[in-house]
Amino acid sequence: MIFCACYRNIGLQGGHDDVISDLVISQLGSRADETRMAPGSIRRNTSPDHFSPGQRPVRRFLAQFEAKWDLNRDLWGSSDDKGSADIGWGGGSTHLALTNSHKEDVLFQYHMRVFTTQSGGLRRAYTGRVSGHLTAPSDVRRDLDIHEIRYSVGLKTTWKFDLPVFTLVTMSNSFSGLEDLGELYDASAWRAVNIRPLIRATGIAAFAFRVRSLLPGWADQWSRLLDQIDRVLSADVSTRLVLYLVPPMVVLLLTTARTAGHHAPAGEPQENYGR
Amino acid sequence: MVDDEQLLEFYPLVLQILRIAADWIQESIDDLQWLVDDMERLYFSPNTSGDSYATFLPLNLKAVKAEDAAISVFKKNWESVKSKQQRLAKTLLTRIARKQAEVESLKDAVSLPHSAHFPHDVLQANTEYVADQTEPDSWNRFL
Repeated sequence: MIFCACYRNIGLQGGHDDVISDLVISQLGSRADETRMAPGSIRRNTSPDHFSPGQRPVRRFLAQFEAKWDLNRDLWGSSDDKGSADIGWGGGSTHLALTNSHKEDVLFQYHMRVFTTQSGGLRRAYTGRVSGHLTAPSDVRRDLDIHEIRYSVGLKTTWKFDLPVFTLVTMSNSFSGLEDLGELYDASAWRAVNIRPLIRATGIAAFAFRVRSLLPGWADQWSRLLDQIDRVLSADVSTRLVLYLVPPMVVLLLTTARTAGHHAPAGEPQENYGR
Repeated sequence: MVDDEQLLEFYPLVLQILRIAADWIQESIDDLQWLVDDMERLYFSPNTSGDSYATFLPLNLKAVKAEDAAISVFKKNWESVKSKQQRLAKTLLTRIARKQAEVESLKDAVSLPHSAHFPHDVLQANTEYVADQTEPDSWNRFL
């Protein structure tokens, strides 16, 4: 099988949300909608009615990337949107098939969130995300700034063409964890992680490859956070341990003394000690 | 010296961060499983009409063995992803659990009374109680 992929790596600083959104929508939106799009038009009018049926799923993908996650988040949005006559919604699922006018396409999405302590790698902070400051009790130099970052992967792929046409979009608001992503066109990178293209489902295989390639960076971010917490905790743990192991012994000895005064010679606790 | 009030705010905050970390790691695992289950439903469903479901193979290549081979590749692809994630997550979650236990212990230690901070409360109450019941010489030597 001949496997070709076109790709672009795009890094934009904050303030380019319109550009990023338009790029994502042009890649993951339904092809029939491309001619309707004007640059920047989508983000300037965010009402659901403004989006064409082919764009609404992409808006949901972007919302999962940008906005706060609820406890019972629904990847594909509210029931109002699900009621659209033009879209077949995958209820409770991770995919959405465009079943009527664009039935050749199916969309998938996967998102991971992680804390990073590398503020230098943060390129865009979103209001719906968790962030905070951990103040080290003993040494301000060990203070931690913690930010939530997300890795989002969206796939639009045909599922009826013998040779699939697919688009894969990977988004993150930080460069951290994206340093060593394998390239989709590199067959050896696929073999190295035991992922093989699969005829009509080669887009799905590419999706697997991309999610797989994000995992080391994802784990590395968590590991760095734990390292930093270790660093903060290690500040004066040793002195605290010495200090705080003493008090329970004091209480214990007092109790023993009380019991001894009642029932036994001093210094010889009885079995009903502590009652 | 760090005072206890600082630590009583600090340790719960660390525990909160560790709890969220564990939750989010597990969430990523669950979401990936959800995704894979969903794909399998889409691609492994009966495919009689050719329009209602996704398929792996072109119609002219339809054969039971070929379909089975395609399903096997599909499963292996995602198994590679899931197993990698689970291996990484297991290491992280183990480390987080160990760290949670350590911080809980430190927090408990700060919360417990000690001679530097509560002799006027609990310690004095104990002293008074013991003094009522025993001769001073029998317990003062423990202090």
